[in-house]
Amino acid sequence: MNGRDEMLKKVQKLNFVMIDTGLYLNNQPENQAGQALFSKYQALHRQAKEEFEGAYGPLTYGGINTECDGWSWIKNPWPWEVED
Amino acid sequence: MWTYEKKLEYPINIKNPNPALAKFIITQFGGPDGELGASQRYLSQRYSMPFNEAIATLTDIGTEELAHMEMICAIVHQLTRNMTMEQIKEAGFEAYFVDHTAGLYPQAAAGFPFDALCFASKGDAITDLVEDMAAEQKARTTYDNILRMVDDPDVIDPIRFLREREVVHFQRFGEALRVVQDNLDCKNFYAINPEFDK
Repeated sequence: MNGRDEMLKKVQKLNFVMIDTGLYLNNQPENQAGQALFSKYQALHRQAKEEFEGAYGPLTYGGINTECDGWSWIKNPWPWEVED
Repeated sequence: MWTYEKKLEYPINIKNPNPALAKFIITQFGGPDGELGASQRYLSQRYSMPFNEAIATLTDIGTEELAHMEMICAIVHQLTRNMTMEQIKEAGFEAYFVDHTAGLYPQAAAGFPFDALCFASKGDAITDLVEDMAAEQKARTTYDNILRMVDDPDVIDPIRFLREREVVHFQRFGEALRVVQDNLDCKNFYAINPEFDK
């Protein structure tokens, strides 16, 4: 697994905790432990996403840096692509 | 993957419910030239599309169509809120009401349900992009027809925005088609299908 794949997997893992915890909190909105878990992973995800985008390019429009990279949105490998 | 943004792309605030308008505006949710079909058409075509410009165009326009589907649903919802039984009968809204109450269901103005046959995905870059350009024009015509029948400025304003986006998308698909053709044999664009032949 190369550096990009490893860093992306970290973003995916942290984001999944947010997704799953968020679903739980929709029906248990007062749950303090759930809120703390969400908040912790929200910060970790934000940091990992910024690190990934700085190294390998944008995951969303918000991660685009035209000053450094130009219109990098179309340069990334697309998530469904595999190397032959 | 996708994440949800808890806002509309363009604001919608309809003061006066009017189920008679909802009856035909709903066609841009579930009709053959509606936003649901448009979003799924473009997002389905991306995977085998060659050239990053065209992939990005399909991804971003397909995503914007999801936002437009939400806008149409918001318009239909606001037009059908707080309805009395008298208003439902006067507007001829009984058939929809019996099946779906005031819930959102993807159907055409003529009442037939959403049909995936409307979202063409042929696996040929030129075929699909020409299809997409026609789709944008069909949606633009539909919005023009809707605008001929609506006199409420609260409805006209967001419908005009949606109509304008069809014109912009048509231009962007035209440019994507040009990028594809620039990468093909200029003497015979059909010598190969760049989505299949290597």
